[in-house]
Amino acid sequence: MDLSNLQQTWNRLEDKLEKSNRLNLELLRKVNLDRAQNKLKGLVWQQAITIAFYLLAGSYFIHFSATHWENWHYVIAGGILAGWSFIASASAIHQLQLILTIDYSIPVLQLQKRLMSIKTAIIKNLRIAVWMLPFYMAFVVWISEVLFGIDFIAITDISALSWNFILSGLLIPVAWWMHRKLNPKNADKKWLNWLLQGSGSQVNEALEFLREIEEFERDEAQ
Amino acid sequence: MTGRGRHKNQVDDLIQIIEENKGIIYKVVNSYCNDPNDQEDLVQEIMYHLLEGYERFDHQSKVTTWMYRVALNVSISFYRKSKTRKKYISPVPEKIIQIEADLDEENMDREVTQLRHFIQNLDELNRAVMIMYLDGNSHEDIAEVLDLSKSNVGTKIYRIKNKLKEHFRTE
Repeated sequence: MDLSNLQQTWNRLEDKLEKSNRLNLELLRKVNLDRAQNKLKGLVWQQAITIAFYLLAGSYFIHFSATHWENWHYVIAGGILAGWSFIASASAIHQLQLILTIDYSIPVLQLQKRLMSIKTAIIKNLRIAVWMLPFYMAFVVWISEVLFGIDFIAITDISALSWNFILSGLLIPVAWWMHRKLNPKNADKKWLNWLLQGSGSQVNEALEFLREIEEFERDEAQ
Repeated sequence: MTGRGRHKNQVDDLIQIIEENKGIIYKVVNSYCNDPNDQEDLVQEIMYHLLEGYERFDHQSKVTTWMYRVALNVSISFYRKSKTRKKYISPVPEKIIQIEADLDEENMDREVTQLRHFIQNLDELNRAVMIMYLDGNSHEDIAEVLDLSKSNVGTKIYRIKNKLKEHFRTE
């Protein structure tokens, strides 16, 4: 093939396509954007419920702390749980914002990166979850009070309490280790795929494409 | 003007723009998708995003730049089998485009077939560069659509052309 005629060859393909395609643009007048947008909103419904759940939970834990202000351990437990709920809701709000602001007319590399980061966001959520491990005592204190009306700190002797605090401390490096393991790079591993409810391969593909985009952008410097 | 009247005018404008530049859509769709049924779905999805985004289009950049961005973004996402894509489909009950069948390559000259195969074998991002280059777009326009520097576009085109030379030398 004569490379100087590439564009002419390409134009011949366009002629072929013009002949084999029949475009009925009048149908565009029938497009019901509202209906289509409602379908799009359906996509974010689940995310909105998640946000509402965490915000409600956070508000409840603040209320719990406020109504138990005379006992420092209830205030701390409620504060930790409220903080965790609000961090989780902030992450969900960020994801929702990313989904709602998808604009297909922004530059190709920008949009593709944004789409891929939405796909990998599920791993960020798991990371937030593991950081509750060292604070398990907050859950124990709260559940004991709410479900059984028992003041866990008051009825537990000092040595048992000490062991619980030591265990909490030991769970910090465990949470850190899990945080590192919950890396998008491990998305193809069986255990992470199970945690991701089978969407590990999608996350993996998204990451692979992100790497391709970065390489594509970097090309110039080589 | 009422909202409905403005929408009607926008649709009229858009129909004219698409009519004048429909080749962009045909070539992008044909480069990212082989199956005629999928091509119809893809065209439908591109049309939906053009219509949905036209209201936000500020005319600061060329209308063809905007069309390339939408067509390439939707096609690359479609090509990568984005999980969400099916949810956008079918804003209209009928098909906006009818494609007779897959292109009859026997009746296509050899050079066109070779070029088509070569482009379809490039990765998604280099394919976008090549489509725009072959359509006669400047390096600046290609850079604007993809978010690359002009010199990077030049490097990529140079590399793709070398690959192309190699490809045809071995065929």
